[in-house]
Amino acid sequence: MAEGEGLREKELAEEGWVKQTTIGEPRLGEIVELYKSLGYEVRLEPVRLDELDEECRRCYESEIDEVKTVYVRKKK
Amino acid sequence: MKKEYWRWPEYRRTVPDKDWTRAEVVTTGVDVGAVSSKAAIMVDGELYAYSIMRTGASSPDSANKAVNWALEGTEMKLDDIQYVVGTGYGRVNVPFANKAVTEITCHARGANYIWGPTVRTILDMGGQDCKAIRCDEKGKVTAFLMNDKCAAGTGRGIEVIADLLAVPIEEVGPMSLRVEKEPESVSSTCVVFAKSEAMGLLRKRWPKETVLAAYCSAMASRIAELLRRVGVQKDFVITGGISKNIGIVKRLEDIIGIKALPMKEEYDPIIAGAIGAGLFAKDLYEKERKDI
Repeated sequence: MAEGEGLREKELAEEGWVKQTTIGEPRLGEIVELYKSLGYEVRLEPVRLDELDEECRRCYESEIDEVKTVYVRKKK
Repeated sequence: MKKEYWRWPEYRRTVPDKDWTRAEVVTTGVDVGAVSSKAAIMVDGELYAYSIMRTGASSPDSANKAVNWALEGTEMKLDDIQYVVGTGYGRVNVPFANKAVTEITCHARGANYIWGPTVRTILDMGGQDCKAIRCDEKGKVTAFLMNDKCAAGTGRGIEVIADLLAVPIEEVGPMSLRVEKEPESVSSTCVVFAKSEAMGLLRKRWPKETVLAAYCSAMASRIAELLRRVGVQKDFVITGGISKNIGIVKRLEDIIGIKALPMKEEYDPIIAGAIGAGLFAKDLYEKERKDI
């Protein structure tokens, strides 16, 4: 997965959201549950294919609906 | 028949000199991972027996097989186990589990059991994912990061490279260190791309050692980035199958500037998650009994 900051990532960063990972089930449910238990708000965003490296894009294209990017921020 | 170089040893073990028949609480943790399934039988909160085997097509079958294999030769039956916790990729598919607990939580607890309360950072390098976990003195998770959905930089990637180069998987790490000069890392740890890149290097007559060094180095850099983001604090330990790959571990330690605590002979670092699950099973069993 590309580490470069995309536009959406920058927008969300301004609101305090920090990108964690991009993942699908069954891992997704697990880490959402765990981040919440650690006192974080969790936000799930669709994968932005246009912000991925060519090599990663091919894999993600086939599972675009199941995979989400996880952002977290500490609860105020 | 084609030799499977990726195949790692499956085994079971009973801890000697332990008498389970006098135990007050017998619990089991079952960690069904994407690549391996592990069962840890815990007697009064101490490891009694365990098994490590390849996960098959069905998670429930793999869970069953792992537990039955761990029990083999112990005279303990499934009915003697009072509480079972499932964890790992297939944790919700452990048919006889009383509860499922997330694997990050279980790995932190298991590492605390294996190495003690000074552990603050755990790197779990599994078959299809990699997790950097921070924990407190009780093994409770305080922060974590998981790699993206991708087999790059995971055990599966090493299996593919081992097969491609016809090098037994246990030899990948040591062989990668037999280079006089560290080569440039492969440009990608993506399993698909690294495979074609490695083939290209072989065609250029690079020795296998050098190709492995280039791949292990790329994996170490990728994992180091995950650790950098979560922040590494001592004591630092590594669990999961890749913890046995000295070629990746040494390069990773060089990058982050921190040495991992050495493995303990009596505990295979692959079973940390199953041990953690077994310990949670004991807590949950005792809580339920108290509530009655």
